[in-house]
Amino acid sequence: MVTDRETLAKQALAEGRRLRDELTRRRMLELSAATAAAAWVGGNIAEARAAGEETHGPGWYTDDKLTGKVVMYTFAGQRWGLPPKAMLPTFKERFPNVEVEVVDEPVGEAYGKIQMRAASKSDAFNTQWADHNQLSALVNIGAMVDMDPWLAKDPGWTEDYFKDVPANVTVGYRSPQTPEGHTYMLASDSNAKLQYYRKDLFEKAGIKGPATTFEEAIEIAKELHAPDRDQYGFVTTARRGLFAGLELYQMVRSYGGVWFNDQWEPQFNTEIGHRAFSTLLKLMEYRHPVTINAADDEVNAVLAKGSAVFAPFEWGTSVLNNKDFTEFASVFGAAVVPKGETPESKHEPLMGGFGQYVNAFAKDQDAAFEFIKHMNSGDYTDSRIGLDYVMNTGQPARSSLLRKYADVNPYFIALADSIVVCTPAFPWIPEAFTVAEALGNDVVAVIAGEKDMETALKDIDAAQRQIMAESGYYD
Amino acid sequence: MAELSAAQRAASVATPRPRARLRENQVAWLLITPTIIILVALSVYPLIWSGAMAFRVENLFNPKIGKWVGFRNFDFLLFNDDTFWKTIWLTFVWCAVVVSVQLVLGFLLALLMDTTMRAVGVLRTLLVIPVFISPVAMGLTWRFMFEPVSGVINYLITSVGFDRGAWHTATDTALVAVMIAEIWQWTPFVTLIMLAGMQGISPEVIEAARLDRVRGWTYLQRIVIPLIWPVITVVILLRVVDSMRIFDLIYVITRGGPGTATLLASVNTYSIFQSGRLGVMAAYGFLIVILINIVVFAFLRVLYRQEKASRRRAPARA
Repeated sequence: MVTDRETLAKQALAEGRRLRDELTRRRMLELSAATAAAAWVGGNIAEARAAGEETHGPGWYTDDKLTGKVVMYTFAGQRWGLPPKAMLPTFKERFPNVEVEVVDEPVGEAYGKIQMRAASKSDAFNTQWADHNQLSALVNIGAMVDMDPWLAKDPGWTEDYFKDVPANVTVGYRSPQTPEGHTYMLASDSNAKLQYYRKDLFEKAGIKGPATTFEEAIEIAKELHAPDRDQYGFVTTARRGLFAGLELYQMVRSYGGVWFNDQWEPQFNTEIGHRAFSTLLKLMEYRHPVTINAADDEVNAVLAKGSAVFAPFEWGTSVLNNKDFTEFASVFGAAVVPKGETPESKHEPLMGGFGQYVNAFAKDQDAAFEFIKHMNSGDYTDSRIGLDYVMNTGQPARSSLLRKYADVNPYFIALADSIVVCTPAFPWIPEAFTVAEALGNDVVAVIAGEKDMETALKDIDAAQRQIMAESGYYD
Repeated sequence: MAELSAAQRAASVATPRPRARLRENQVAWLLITPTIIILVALSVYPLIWSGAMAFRVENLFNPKIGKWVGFRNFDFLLFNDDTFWKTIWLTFVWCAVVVSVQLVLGFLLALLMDTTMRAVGVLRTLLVIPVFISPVAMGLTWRFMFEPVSGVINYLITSVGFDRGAWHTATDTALVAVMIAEIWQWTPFVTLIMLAGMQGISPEVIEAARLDRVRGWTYLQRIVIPLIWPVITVVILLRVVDSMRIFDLIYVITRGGPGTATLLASVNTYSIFQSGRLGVMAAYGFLIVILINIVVFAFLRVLYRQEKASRRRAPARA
């Protein structure tokens, strides 16, 4: 019936798309991810397994001597909750004596929960998803296991992974976070700020393509802004705290600025900081009303409804390409975020995404690593792994998967282009969230009209300096 | 003498012997020990620990930097943090407005329902529904209703010719929007308690007032309010305490924003926690507890004095 891997993948993809069109969003969630993935591949699990040999890649091996239990903590919801569950059938084929439990908890307050769980030295889990912005905080308390010795045992797999996942991404999961650092997490999931726009409205207004510079972005926002028709030219996630902080930081990066200089002195009250903040405030003139209280969910909801039509720097998401979620799914375009107009400006989207680490305080670390590695394998180990990951709403970090499955999620191309030029969303220090929250509180005070920009920029630098001084950076 | 010795005998019978008393004490200690352990573990120890933390730099994301810093966290909050006094002010404004409106509306609704109308039973049942709704679910519902572009409230407003409101998305209306939701949820509770108080007024008193032709405002001022004053005091106390520790509703609707427009003390405590500054959070918590206690204490004193005075007046009038 199926003779080669590519044909199988194409057939599965077509079947998946057909099923996705037929199923409602609710029904999709009701289906077990793993069962759905297997069903998409071959009609049922048995057939999918029978077809397994045809899908094996060079990284395929099995080990029935490996035993233990893997408990993985992840976040409920499509992008993070479903992909690890979808890995179970293929993982079981390879490691039949390893039991896996995927615990998906609500994503709310994720960073605090991850940190507290790790700080408590709990052995109730042996792997969890974490953010690269949190890596230094987790390494700092000795919560993670260096993966290099495991990776060294499988040089083929390691070479393939580091060739496929851009260095911009993998460096964030090393400690220290430099190319020479040791790998402490593998990143199955990637994200970056992307530029989302409505192709139909751009065409209608005679706007050619997405914005290249923020000057163009302001013009586009102005052109598309028609509040009397419930159409707003700009939307972003400016909720108080770190969301708002990252908005300004995105602008600062786009104008060639940095958060701290080499001496850990904050760099917001600078010429670049002023320019970046002014541009942000100009865009805010065309903002959708939800902007000031919005995180991703609120922004995606108004984009989906059509009352917001342009988001030049919004976190990458599959929902805007999902026709169960929005009637505009087919006309949403995605591109790399704009840059500033100055010579030092560059396209430098902030980086998101998650990796998985092995808990230093838990047992069965070998089994935990194998599960993480399996999930990060892409097609190198088995083409069903990449397929299952994507078809179960994952947002992979492997460029090969992003490009291969661009017809499933068209924004994958923009994401693939973005993650090779992206920059860390926070400074890579344990206090990342502390400085980001402080930054965001001042940014939103300006947007809300509680402070003027000049005062806020001075306050931002003062607050950042105070936090850094408390942490001993100036000793 | 004989009487004395009888009394002594009686006393010696009533007083347990030292050994029996010891056993009694041991049993008492045995019985209260679990409670003491639980209290120490769950209340006393955390209180002492957080008190100590208020004098330290502690970062959730970098535990290694922990050190004693004296009063620095308090100094920062009281003199350098521009949100501290605003959150205190907002909390008191919130409390004053919300509780006052709930009291007035609750009282009026209770008056309306304190009749022999047939529909009162059904009304009472309907009225109590909001109290049972989870604040998170209710917050989400109100957030969607307030949504400025496609929310039902703006739809209704514009359909009768008024301009759309920005509600929870604008700094000048956000607090009002959240207050509306809070008042909507808790006014029925106030109504029910007041109604119970009104229905406890003796029919003879009401009849006497009717015969004396005491009506309208005079009836409320001279008969109803003084007689249900203890009930009103309890309602005020309950609502003040509840309003001061409001968190869920605000967190769901605005998360303290836009800017700091709805950043009440409890929400700000959480916001500091999110930033990982545990020392500052502990200091903030202590300052809030002290300030709130001063206000609640002063408030209770006033209420207590009023109640005492009204009790003194009652027999005089009688």
